[in-house]
Amino acid sequence: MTIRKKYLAAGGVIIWLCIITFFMILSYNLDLEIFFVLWLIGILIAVELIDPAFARPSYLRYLRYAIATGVILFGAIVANKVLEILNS
Amino acid sequence: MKKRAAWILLAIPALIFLIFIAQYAASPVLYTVKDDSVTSSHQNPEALKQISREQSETVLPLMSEILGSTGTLVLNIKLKDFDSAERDLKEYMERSRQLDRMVINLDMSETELAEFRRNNQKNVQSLEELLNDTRRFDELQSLEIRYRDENRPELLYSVMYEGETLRSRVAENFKGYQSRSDAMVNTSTKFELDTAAYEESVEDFEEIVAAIDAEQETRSTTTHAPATPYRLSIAVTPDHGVYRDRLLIAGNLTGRTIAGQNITLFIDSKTWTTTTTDDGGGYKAAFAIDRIRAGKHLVYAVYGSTYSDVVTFSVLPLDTALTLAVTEGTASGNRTFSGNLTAAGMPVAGAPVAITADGKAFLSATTNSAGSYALEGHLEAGTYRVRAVFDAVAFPLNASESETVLIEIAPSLLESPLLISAGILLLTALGAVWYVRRRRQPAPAPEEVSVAETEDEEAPAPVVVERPPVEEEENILATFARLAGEGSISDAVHALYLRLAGSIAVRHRIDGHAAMTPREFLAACRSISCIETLTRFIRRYEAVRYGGAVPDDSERQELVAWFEDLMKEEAGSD
Amino acid sequence: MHLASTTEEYSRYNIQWNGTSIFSDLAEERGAVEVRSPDDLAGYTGACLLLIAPDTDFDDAAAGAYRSFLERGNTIVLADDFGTGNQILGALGSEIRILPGNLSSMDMEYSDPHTVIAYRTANATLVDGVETLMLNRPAALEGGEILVQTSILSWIDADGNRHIDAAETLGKYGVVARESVGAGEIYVISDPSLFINTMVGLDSVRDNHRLIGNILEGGRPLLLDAVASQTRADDGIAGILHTVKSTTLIKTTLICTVLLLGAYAFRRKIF
Repeated sequence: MTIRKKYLAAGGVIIWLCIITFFMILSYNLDLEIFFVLWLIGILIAVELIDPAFARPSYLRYLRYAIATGVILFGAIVANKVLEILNS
Repeated sequence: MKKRAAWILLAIPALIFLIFIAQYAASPVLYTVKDDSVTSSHQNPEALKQISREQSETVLPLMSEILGSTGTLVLNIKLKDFDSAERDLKEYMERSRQLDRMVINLDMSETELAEFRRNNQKNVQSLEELLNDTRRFDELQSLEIRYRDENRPELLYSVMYEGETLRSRVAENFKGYQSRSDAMVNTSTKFELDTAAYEESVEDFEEIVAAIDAEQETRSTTTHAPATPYRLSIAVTPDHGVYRDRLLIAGNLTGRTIAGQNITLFIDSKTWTTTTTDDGGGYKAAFAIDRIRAGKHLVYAVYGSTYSDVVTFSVLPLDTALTLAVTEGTASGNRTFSGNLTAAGMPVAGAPVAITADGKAFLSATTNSAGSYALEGHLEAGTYRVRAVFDAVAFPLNASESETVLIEIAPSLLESPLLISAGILLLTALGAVWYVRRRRQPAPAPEEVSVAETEDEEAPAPVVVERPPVEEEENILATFARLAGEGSISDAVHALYLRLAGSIAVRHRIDGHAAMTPREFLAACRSISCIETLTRFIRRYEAVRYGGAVPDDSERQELVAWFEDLMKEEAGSD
Repeated sequence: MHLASTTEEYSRYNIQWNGTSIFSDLAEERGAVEVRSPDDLAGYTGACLLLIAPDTDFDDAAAGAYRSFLERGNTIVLADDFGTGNQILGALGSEIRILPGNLSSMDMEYSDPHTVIAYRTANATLVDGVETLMLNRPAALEGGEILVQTSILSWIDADGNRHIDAAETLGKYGVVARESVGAGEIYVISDPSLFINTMVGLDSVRDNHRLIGNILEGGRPLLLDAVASQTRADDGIAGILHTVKSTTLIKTTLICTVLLLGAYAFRRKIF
């Protein structure tokens, strides 16, 4: 059960990334920023779905740090975009 | 061992991946249609915005309308239908303004189109003047009839003089209009426009000039100077000048009482000044060329009903030089624009100067007596190409533009990009910290292990609040004794095992021990020091828990002894 | 067919935006024949030969073959904006010349003055029903009978800055011209980009489709030049695939090899 949930989540995220890549290629628009943001959204959803109510599996703990880093990077991207808009 | 290898296997590609992807951090757009949308022979329309703009369909008809406007306008003036002419002029001016805007918007300022526009601008001015002058000339005719009826020769004479001025002005005006016609026709022909109406306007203009000429000629021959005992002479020296030159207008009054008389001087039929004759009847006045258009001007003097002859002088245009300097203003976002306007080295006073940003005028200043101007203006954040422009027909000076100054207005501190980005980063960092710390408070249930086991088969985090070991042992031994006394020896042994496994797992960082079978747990513990005792304990535990064996007293004591040994060993292994 | 591709400009094997694969497919559906050697031109009368973006000059033999083809009463449509076509035009005895340069116009279909809108000024079978054309960085033409030209607000953007400068003059420039040589006629289109995939694929942009329709549906044999035209460019895998596909011996060998391998695998019970 445990193992399956973990791998289901990972598989889900990978499929999500494949979908993103597919549509990016389809629209002739490969943008790492958008890719990153969509990855972050995907992983946030996956984590919310597999997060058990009362316990804290260790792999989720490490994932949390990864997500936190991602959120900060996301902030950097947003700040960057705001700068672009201001400068234009 | 296997686990570590797996970790390393994962970490290495992850690291390589991160290193590779970091190169694109600065420009994260890997590919868009725009990236390879241009080759030397074509470009990909998919990457462009479709606008379907057919400028020639608006510009050419507009130019054609402008040319047509001049025809009807001048014709109406010729027919003295001044109301229609007024309407035509308004329409013509509006169309010309449209063309101005278009040429600026299309950035065609270096083409024949711009030349057409420049000439047309002058034509607008010219025709506006023509309308005013002919209308005034027409009024003079009715005035003439009235004064003749009323028999007021001195007023009649003033009418004649004003008519003279108008004649000279219209003739001057026509010279300008005609001089532009070749250029206008050439450009128009190039744009395949019908110039018939425009050429007709030139001819009509000429006819107007001829008609005015003829009428004024008869007027001057039929109008006789009122009989006065005085004679007034006039002369201008020199008869031409440029901006800031002084012309001497002087003459003599001859007659009975000539000293201390007031002589009124007229320039272009408008009262300019009054001067007084000296004892010998001489008068003089210095005319400083300042705000007067370039070209020919008429002067005459009047004393009572005595008129002098009409003399002329010409004002020649001078080239001007305009400078612009931009400095920081007093408030943020403000800039001070200052500079100098000079004509042949002389300062130009009281002249209007427009400051343009990216071609659009947004400020206007007036030069002071030293020819300099300074004013402060506010601009939104951004980059601008600023220029000062002087173009005033009222001065006998040619238009000039300053050098272009590039200015950059930084956004104010509150909207400073640095502050905003720092703020966003701080917010997200706070969010990240909150996310990591969320639900980190210790769970309230004391029996965390069993909760984890029943509610969720996930391995609980090894971070469990540690209780003092001695106390614990007493408690667990008491529980063991109680459960054993109640006859559920299986549960009693299980409680012992759980406590022991939990303790060892914490000490040796064994993940997910609760999910392991005792055998698996044993395998995970094979590196600890008291493995033999643990093996014996687990064998016995399995026998009781799974094998259904019921241990006798000595075996129970042995089990408890192994447990205590192990716990002690564990406590001492730090 | 298009599994593997090349990125060569104008190549008929290039399925990217700058290839001519769509046009080639359309032409082949209508029975167009590829001319791989000047000798292939012999025997045609009343046919239409299409030369798109030639990148090589004609040698004497080729020039003779093409000229006699033309003079026999055939039609040649030459599309070029680089000026390479001038040597060919000279060899064919035509007076039309291509003036290479970025023809730009204020009348633009897209937000770029190089996407010039041109207007028909004279009638001819090729431009029948074509009122306006959208061109993609065309050149200007001189000589011959101008059939389609730009509006007066056009100029040759010598410095490529997309703005008209003092040194550049406004004027009408021809983009499609016609000329009779012998019994045949020659059409010059100053923009081969009309045939690239992205331009052919654009829906209802001006009357470009009509022009291509006129070329394809002329009711006469259509020949696609592969001697000088860049459409023949088949570098990369596409070239290998094409050679393999067009060579019967290699094809047969390949099929046999695959069959043999299959039989071997079957016998050894690998599957």
